[in-house]
Amino acid sequence: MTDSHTDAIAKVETSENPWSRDFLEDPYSLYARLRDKGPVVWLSSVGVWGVFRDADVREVITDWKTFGSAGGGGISNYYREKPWREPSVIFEVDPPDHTPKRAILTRILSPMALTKLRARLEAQADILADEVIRKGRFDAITEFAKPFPLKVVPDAVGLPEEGRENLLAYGAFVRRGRAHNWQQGWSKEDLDEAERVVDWVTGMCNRGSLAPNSFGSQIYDAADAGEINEHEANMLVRSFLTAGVETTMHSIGNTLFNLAINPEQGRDICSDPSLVKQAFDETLRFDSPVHVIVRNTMQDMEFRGIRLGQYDKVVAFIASANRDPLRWPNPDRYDLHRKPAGHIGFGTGIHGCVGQMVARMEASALLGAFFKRAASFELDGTPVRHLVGARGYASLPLTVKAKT
Amino acid sequence: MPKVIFVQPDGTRQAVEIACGTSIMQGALANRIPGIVAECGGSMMCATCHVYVGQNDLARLAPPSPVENETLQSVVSERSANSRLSCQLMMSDELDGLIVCLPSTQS
Repeated sequence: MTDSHTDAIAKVETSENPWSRDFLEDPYSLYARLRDKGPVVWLSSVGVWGVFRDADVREVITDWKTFGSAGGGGISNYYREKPWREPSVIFEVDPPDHTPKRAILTRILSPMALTKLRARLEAQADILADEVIRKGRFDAITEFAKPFPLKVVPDAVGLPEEGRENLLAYGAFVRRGRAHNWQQGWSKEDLDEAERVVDWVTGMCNRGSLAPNSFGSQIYDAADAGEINEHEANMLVRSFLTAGVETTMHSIGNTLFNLAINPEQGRDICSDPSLVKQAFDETLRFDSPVHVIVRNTMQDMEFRGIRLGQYDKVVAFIASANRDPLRWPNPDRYDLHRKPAGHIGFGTGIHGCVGQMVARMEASALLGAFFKRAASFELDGTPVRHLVGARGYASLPLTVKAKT
Repeated sequence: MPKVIFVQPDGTRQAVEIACGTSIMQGALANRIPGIVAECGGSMMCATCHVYVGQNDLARLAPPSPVENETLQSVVSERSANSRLSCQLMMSDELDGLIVCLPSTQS
């Protein structure tokens, strides 16, 4: 060590890049290695700190005074480079600014408020489940897990029918924009397309685009009540559109995948469809679509004896924490019979996923409708991985036999 | 370690030691106390870790945050003035002996 004046422990580092394609199929064995390396590991290929153990990850994502969110939700560091888009007013902000917006979203997305949504979700789920059961062979992503949130989420937010495919395109741009040095590698076509998609999204977030009694219009009610201003309302509607579709689609897809490759558990759930809620949360523990939550240190500090600089990026690997053997027995086993409460696949603390009860309701409607009808199901071909952003599948071919 | 006394709807009492800095919800799950579901794991979203704090103990707690207050609207059993989300009650030596009553249902 060069600095003999402190007790700080020498920095532990690795050149391995968790975002590299090398780890697309199996990031979990890398996480296990990095969990063993130390409480905080310098990821030299990206220039960020990584935290991999359950206790450490929890501390980083809940201690918002020490690890702030205003430096951006991705690797791009807003203290050091210009953000691609105006930062989120809920996700990329700290208290006290964060608090009133969180309270508004909590109210709109609370279990009580959502009871009104349940019947509509179940009706839509029945339609899709009937269709795939009738086909017998189907793609569980493109014909099932994808069309469902792409229909019910924009419906609930209050968007018109036209142009909804822009939502997935927008999500992809947001993720590219959160990458390190995001300005590099965008072609003229990318920039033009991004501008078009952003214009569409911004327009959709305006008061006039949103149906009455929707999530969106309730956000403008909060603006009318003086809780937030008109611009913040527009930005909060944007958060619904960024956060709600792709994550849910992949969590549902990943649930079907893991049940398909564990046939005895697949049989259990076909005979007892009430297991869907537990299976969905076990998927969020075992194979969540989001693997990292990103913070910035607010000042020079020590974490577990290691010195971090002010505004350094600290990446909390929630998907690694959820596999930490100190927290979970047999962490690498998918087990729909375990009680997964307390996983952090949705994050936790003041920035924990505010839409998680909608996601649970969507999953239990769609997967519940499927398993009520299915006698058995299995993989029928090779699943194709989704490559950018959320962890999941682009294609998941299944065959299903109907209950008689 | 400070203790919390959980009281079931049938009057059964169980005293449980919970480490300082741990939430009462986490302490209840770790000790398999029936009646705490905690579906969201402590994000103040699910309202399934609802408890009624003993009337004489209310003054020992800081009032609920605006977000907890919103989520308390969603509890399934009746909301009372002493309703709290146990995920937001952090254990401390000052809370030793706290009485926490469980509702008849969480969902």
